[in-house]
Amino acid sequence: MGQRAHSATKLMSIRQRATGPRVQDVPKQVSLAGDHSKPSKVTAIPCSALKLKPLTQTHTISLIHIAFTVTCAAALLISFYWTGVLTEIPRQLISLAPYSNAKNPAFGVRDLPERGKGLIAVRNIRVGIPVYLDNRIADSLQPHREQRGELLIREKPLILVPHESKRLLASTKAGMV
Amino acid sequence: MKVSDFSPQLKRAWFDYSDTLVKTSPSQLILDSVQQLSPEQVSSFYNLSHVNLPVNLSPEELSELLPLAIFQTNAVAAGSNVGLFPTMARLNHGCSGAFNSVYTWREREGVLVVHALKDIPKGEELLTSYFRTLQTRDERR
Repeated sequence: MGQRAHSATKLMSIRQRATGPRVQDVPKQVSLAGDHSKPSKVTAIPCSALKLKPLTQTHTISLIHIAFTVTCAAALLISFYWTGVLTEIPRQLISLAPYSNAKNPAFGVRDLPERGKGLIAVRNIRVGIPVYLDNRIADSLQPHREQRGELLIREKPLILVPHESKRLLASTKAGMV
Repeated sequence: MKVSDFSPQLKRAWFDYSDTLVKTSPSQLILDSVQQLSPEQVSSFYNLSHVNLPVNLSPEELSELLPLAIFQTNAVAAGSNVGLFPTMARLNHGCSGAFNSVYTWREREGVLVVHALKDIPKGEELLTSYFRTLQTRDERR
């Protein structure tokens, strides 16, 4: 009898090892403990899984390099501007104020009552970040420099005559030629 | 841009052009210049206003004198030259404090630029000063 009971217990342990514990064999407390531990595992996702790696010393050095490069480029641009190599800094780089062009005209030619024609703003024109009137270092020393804003017109002459003829033209009335 | 900056060919052409200034009348000079323009440019030129043109002119006289009258009414100083800029020519004059834009001739680029001097709300007229803003009121008068 004792041998039978011992052999039955041994057979059960062998079966359990082969098939794993049955659900009803697992104590309820263990099961609850297992459920409770799941959320803590989900929230503890490592940074590497999200590809959000903390800033290392290498990254900090890279950021410093980028900032240095941008600063140098800006300084170079400004120096070109002030020395006259660039006649004008593109306003898009320093201001959101747009240029007046065919796609985004700032003005239109309109008939004015009893005054002929004139240029009327068709949108708000901003001064934006002021750019100085002259772009030479020598000019910067002059106290009367004016600020200016958006570039409204840039055009080449339709007719250009020498200054010598200016006096001639000015002194000659149309009806007296 | 100075004449000394021109290429030899352009310089020769320029002096030829300057010689004609002495030989031809101002009206003929401007008329010749207009005849060298493209049809679109001619159209924009004749769309400009003019003053000081006598009335009761014959068609021949009108065709000869009208270009000069338009030029005299609308041309502005461009460095050592005098230039006509059809878009800028539409800018009316505003007295001191009333003007909101300023024009500048860029010698090196050979262009005239107009910049806003202050914020201009939509619907407001663009005005510039035909005189140097640094002149006193008496000098401007």
